Amino acid sequence: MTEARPNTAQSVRFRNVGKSYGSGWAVSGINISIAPGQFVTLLGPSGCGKSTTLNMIAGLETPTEGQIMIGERDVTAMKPADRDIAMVFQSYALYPHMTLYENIAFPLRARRRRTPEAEVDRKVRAAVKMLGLEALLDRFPRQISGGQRQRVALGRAMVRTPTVYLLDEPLSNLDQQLRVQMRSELKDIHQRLGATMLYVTHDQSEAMTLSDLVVVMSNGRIEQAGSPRELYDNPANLFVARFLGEPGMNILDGEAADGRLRGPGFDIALPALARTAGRRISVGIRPEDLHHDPSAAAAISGTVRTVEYLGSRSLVRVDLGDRLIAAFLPPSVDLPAGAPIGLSPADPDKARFFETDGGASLHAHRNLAG
Amino acid sequence: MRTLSRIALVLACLLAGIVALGPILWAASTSFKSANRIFAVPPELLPRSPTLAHYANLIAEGVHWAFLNSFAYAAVAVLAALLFGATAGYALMRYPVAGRPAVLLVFLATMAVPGFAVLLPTQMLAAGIGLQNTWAILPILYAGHILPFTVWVTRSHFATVPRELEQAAEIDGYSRAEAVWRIVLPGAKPALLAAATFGFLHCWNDYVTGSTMVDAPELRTLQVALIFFQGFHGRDWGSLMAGVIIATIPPVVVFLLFRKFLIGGFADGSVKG
Amino acid sequence: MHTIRLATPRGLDVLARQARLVGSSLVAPALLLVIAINILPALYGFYLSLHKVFFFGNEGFVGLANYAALFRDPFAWQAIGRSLLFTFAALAVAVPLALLAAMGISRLGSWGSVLLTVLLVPWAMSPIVVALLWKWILVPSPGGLVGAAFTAFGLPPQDLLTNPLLAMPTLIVVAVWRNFAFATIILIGGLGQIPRDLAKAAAVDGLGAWESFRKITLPLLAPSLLIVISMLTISYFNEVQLIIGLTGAGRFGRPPPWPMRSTTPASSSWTRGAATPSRR
Repeated sequence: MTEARPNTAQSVRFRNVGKSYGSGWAVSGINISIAPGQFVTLLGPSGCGKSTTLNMIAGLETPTEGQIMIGERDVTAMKPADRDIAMVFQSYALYPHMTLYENIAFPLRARRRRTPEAEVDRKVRAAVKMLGLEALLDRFPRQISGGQRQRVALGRAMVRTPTVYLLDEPLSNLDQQLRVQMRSELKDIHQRLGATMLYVTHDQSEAMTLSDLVVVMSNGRIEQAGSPRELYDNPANLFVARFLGEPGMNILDGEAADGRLRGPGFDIALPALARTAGRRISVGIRPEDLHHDPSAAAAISGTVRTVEYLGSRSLVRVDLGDRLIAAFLPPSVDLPAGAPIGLSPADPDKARFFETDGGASLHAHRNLAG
Repeated sequence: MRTLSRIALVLACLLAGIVALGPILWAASTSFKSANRIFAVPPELLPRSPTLAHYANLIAEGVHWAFLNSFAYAAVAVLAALLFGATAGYALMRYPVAGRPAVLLVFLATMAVPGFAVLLPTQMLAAGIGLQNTWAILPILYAGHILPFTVWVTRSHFATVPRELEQAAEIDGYSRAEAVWRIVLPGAKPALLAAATFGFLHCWNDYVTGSTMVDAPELRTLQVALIFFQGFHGRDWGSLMAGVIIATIPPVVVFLLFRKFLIGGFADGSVKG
Repeated sequence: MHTIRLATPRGLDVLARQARLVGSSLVAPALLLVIAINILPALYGFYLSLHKVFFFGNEGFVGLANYAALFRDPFAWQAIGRSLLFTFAALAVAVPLALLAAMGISRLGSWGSVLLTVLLVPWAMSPIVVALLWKWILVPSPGGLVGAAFTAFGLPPQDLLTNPLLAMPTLIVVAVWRNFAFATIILIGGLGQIPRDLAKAAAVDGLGAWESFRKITLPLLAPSLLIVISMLTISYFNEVQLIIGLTGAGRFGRPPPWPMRSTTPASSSWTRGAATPSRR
């Protein structure tokens, strides 16, 4: 791959964007600022509004309020064709009556681009080479595998050096093994192209591995935007804390008194920042931050419900009476179901504290959203 | 046991085939028999000395003009129905349309009402605006008859076309109209052919509308011309069967050419739509 | 939180209104044509039915008198009765036949589609032409196909179409011959949608072939059967063209002989007023 690609990557900015379908707001108050060349993921459960947000950048849906900028252009009400963006759909949306070559050449042959056929051919072949599709150019979409279709969809986006790439769950129709492989390929392509990419997914491992910036959404609102590390280590609220991680953060709701947080099965020291916050506080501890503590001073005590042996470690579910929590323990900790067990935070600084009501984090945050 | 039931199945199929095609083949055979052999006792299954006299007789009566009329009426009506029906079907699937539920109801309800149930008021209205007995009336009425079905079939087809295909084309730099022309229409070929075939059969096979709306011999459809011919030469079965064969060839050929689309369209379209 | 509304809602409303305008104008030609050709005449017919009409002359409003006259007319009741009899008898023959054909064809594989095509040929034909064709087959002469069959049994050739007892069954046979295969298409589609695993599961659960058909196939086929029954009901109830042709009404406008007027409701259309009863 030696062809010098003109770097056309642009920034994208959302200013207070909202979309209403009459009966209610599908998304609202969206403020996102994306720098040129960034890989940004919109992450959230289905129905959270991430696809609507992506469609508004594409021009497939028009915002009810707010403004969307690509570079210095206000594209809020612009037709999709005028935005100079590329999109990869979950279903790939390959044109069934065209060969792979024709599919990839299609954007270049649009009247507005007036690409000479020689250049079309050169660009298609360059893209195809990068994706390893050379042998399949005369096939039709129905004659190739899912992974190959995925690549063709990428190729169709790549041939035209767009300002922004939009990717709507592009890997979700692939089987597990292929998905991991395409994930690395995608990351590689992003680095080689230096393009601005906006990626929608409900799969947190894709979001965490690929992104410079992850925007977590639920119920049409942005819950938190930040680097994968920030989101994981310092979630802005209980939603993000529970949503990220497999399994998510253990959340224990307790009563704060005398510098300690107490609840069924646990008793944890409160850090200074949480002492003034009122009585109802929740503590969040990631399963891997708990260690087995047989001493009487264990912060958490309960009974073992199940043990899932995973090779390098075991996932132990512990019953605290009113809830189950999860802990990753060394496989050497071998307790039968029903046995009493004590757990303590491995590093008390990694415990996160939240207001139980409203769920907001008590820790300081950078707001990267806008 | 297995082979026995296999044989029974094959026999049943053969029998069904004979029942379905036998009468038509018998008519074909009759149409090639000389006048004095038609009533031979016992009946001859195949013409012993085949003749084209009955076909020549029909041509002499000018039946080819009626044939061309039928063809022209059907072609115009089908093209108009495809043009208007497919656009409406597309818009009903992809655009907001004022009064959409009522519009859908109109197309659905009129599909169930056969044209001839309202033949008389139609005739009076047509006469009132001076369209009765003109070359235009039958294509217009036929187009109106087959439109609801065309709308319905194309609409159910467009429902199965992923919207993302059009969106992808728009993002790739094409206008909405170009996206429809280059992406949606090529994919809609089966539905359009199914609607066209069904429409052609309806128009070609009509008798009552043709016989009420036009009187002039030069405007007659083939079906009407045949019935007139029967009126004058009631017992000339050879020529009548020649007429039956002539009138049957176009719809059967069209049906055979496009049966895949027609059968496919009905098999999924009706059950789901 | 900003409170600015940068894109004015009015500007974006215009887009939505434009889309609506485009959509409505794409539907308009088809809608207007259908209303003009299928609905307007029906309304006009209803209007006429409330008036005394003599040929093309409207002699004033008469309210429901035409309907009253129609309902007093024993011939009208007889016609309706015959229509219903024809329709349901034809249905009773066609639906089981179509089901049988559908099950056979879907079991036959590629030969099945050949058979289906063959069975559909009569459906592609014009009803009036089918009528002409069958008139020749039924012609009461030893040289006709059916006539020859009578002769073979030592009977004089019968005219089935004027025989008071046999005219109706004859019409039914011809009507079913013409279009039962159309119902087969839909039933094949319906059968195709029943998951194959269900038949296997039923066999594993110990159901016999007939039991499996009755308890699995038939209930799952119900939606398709319903469509078939309603389509055939409409089709047979309106089987005008075939009957005109078979019963020798001949040219349109000549009064129809008995079976025509007695088998379809459209018989009333021979006197002025197609779906609209006329005063006699």
